[in-house]
Amino acid sequence: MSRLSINGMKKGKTSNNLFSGGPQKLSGQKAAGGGLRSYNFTFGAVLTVIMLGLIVLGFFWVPYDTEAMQGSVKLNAPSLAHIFGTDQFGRDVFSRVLSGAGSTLVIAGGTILIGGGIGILTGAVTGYFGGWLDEGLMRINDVLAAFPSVLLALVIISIWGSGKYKVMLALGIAFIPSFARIVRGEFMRCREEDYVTSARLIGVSTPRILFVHILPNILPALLSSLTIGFNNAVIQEAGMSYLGIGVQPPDASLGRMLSESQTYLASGPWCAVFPGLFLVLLILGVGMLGEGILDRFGGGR
Amino acid sequence: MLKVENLSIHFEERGASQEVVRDVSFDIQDGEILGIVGESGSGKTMTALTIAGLLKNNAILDSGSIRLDGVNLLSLSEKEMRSIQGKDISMIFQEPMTALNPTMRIGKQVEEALILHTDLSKEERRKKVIKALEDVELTQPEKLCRKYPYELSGGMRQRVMIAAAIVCRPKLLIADEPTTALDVGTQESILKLLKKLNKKYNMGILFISHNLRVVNELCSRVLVMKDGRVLEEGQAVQIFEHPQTEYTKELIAAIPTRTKGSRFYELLKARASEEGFADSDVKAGEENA
Amino acid sequence: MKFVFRKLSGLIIALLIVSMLAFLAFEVIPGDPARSILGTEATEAKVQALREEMGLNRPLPQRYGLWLKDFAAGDMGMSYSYQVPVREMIGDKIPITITLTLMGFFFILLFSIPVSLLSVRYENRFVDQFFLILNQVTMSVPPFFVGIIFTVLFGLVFKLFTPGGYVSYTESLTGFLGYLILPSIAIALPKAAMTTKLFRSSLITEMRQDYVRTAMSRGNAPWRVLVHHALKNGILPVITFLGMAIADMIANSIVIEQVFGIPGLGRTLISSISKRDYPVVEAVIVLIAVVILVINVIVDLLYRKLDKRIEI
Repeated sequence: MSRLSINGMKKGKTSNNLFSGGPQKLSGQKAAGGGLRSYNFTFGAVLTVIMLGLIVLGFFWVPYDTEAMQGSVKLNAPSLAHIFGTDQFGRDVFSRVLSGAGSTLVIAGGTILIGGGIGILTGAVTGYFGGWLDEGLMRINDVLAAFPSVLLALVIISIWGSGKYKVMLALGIAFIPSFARIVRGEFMRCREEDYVTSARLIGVSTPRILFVHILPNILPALLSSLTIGFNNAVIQEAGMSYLGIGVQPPDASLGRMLSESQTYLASGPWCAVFPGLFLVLLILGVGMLGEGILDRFGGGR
Repeated sequence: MLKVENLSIHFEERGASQEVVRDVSFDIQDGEILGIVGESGSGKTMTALTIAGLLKNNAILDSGSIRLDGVNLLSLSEKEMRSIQGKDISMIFQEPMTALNPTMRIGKQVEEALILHTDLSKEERRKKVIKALEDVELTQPEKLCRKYPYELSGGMRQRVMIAAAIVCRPKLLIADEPTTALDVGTQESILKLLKKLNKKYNMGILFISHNLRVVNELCSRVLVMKDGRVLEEGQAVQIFEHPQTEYTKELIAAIPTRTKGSRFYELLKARASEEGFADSDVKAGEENA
Repeated sequence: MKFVFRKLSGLIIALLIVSMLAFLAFEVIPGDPARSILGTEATEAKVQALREEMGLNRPLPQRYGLWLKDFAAGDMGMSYSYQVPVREMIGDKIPITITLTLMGFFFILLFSIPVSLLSVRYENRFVDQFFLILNQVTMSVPPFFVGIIFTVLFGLVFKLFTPGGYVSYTESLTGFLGYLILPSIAIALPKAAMTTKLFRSSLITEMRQDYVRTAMSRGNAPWRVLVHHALKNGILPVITFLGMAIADMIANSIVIEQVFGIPGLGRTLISSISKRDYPVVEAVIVLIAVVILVINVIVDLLYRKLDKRIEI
């Protein structure tokens, strides 16, 4: 009863035929239905599967050798032979996008495995047990989590140097604090709930409580934050590679393609547009999937 | 002053429709206090919200009219209705804790209706705000104006709500369960205040409650509603002493404090003798909490 | 007052933690700083003398204390590769990055507030649905790609600016600010989309509150309720996010400076990382860290000031 439309009650149009007998709507609009939200999951899942499918395909097969330079087709616009066009050396942009996206997937996947894995473990344990160790660790963790993870990754890279796996490791470590923070909060919330208390009372072992009883309950929130982490890793890897401190040749990289293409923006904009578009679609798909998971399985949280 | 005729409303939610108000008619004279009693879902709040022009957007008007001094409110445009809301018809709500804007100073909230409906200068508005706060018996109004709702008790907040509602001297004040969320002592003082304001400004009050005792204490006339329909209508004492329907009898039986010696019992006795009923007519019912 | 004091002491502890972590991080780097400065041809005696002079032979806690004292006094050491004080190298770059970030923040507000209000006013109607989709897409575009698109669009197609034609603020302030408009929009756009999303749902929650009904009962028009009542309450949950958005924009400015050829802190940082010029890297990172921590405290204090319900 306390809920109200911001339109209040609309009467203007209904007034003239008030007594005509038929029911009249006092307002022009229907109550909020499923709207866009319900499409998040489906659309996100489909787009994610398509993009990941293309990337996995790229691991086994690409139309052209990614390094093969063909002088005859320098900076050719997209055509049937080269659907994304060719770059300044006559290399096929589509093949290069696929193999670059392969590096992206390896790095982003590895990042959430490392960051997510260690973050979940520390977050679960500190959140469930609490105590002074938790206090102390989280004090440091909070300070670290306040930073954009890319800065932490940059510190690590400046010490270790760049390269595909170093970037993955650096990002993975840089992501630990934020994951730990999220998971800790969820575990702290669940710690006091009835099903946990009763599991403890009947003598279920602690690791079992943590990972069999609590973990499934926080899975939607966790999966959603993993998708956000994945997207951040994709953006940051691309950014670092763009700056030349990420993935190094001969490994292909979307970020480096973008930076190389910048010199030829006027004569070959497709060299920049397609790698960028591929990134956008991947991020869009995974992002909507993450939101869809929350919408659908989040239980109103 | 206010005349509601054959009001029927239903809700539509995802195809399903539900009747909430069915063929409700009543009127309120200048300066009269009319009570509507009923359980939750009886349509009493819906009726009130319709008069105040605050229905949800999935509410559909089937038939009826609501006339304020002859003008059918249901035929007004949104804009025209807004010029009446807060000026001629004001409303106060059940939860004084949430019904005030938490981040707006008290003075500003009381002043708002004046900004919307008058051309008064800042200084004139300030005077009216102070006057309204004094009307609702709040002390140190100047100081109060600068406070935020969280600094006030529930009773004080409800008084602020009332001050904000009467600042434009409306013809009709709709009070939707204004005392339900308050403790008993505060309830009494708010009821007294409403009565006082009613007398002082000859302001009509539509008082809505599920509590027949409270309604009886304040209202001269009572409407009993159930499932969107009016079951009974009459003078408060009449309905209380000679309920016509089983439902009303149940409502009366459900009043918890009808034990001998209680304040309510005394009040009832006093009123009964005042209105010419025999003492014996006031039966002591069982506790029915 | 107690709250402010507690926040400030928290800030000092956080600063100590950060400085310690930063110091330790650059301590574990393999290699000898003295050797890095003097190069491989220098004699061992010379290197030892420099080590002594730099205080590298002292115990770790003492070295940290000295480093912290110097840093607080503005002495951030010498650049390995340029042999000039770090302070001189980065001093004139700080205003550039700060301006870029502040402009980005301005654009976040400029885009997200009107769009959120419009979306909530016409909830579930065409404008709302349109902006929901636009937001989802905008959120998915990495800032540096926005920068590249801008370069193509506004630089090459519409010729509204010269890519790479950065104007220093010492030359012309308006030219400088003008050149920073597109880069700051580029870092602001994804954050503006996220802000809008958050702000929209926060405003929708507020518009369902009892006090909004009260305001409507006074004869407030929907727009007036939105602006005068819901806006202030609805922005509270967004404030914390805005604080994080500023931190992220500082990080994103590193890449955007490269896209638009702006000689700010980010460019210095990247070239120093490539050259392994650790004192510079350390100084820039610690500076950014200090700024972010201070912003966090400001956000907390602002939140406290705005939310009258919080009693601490």
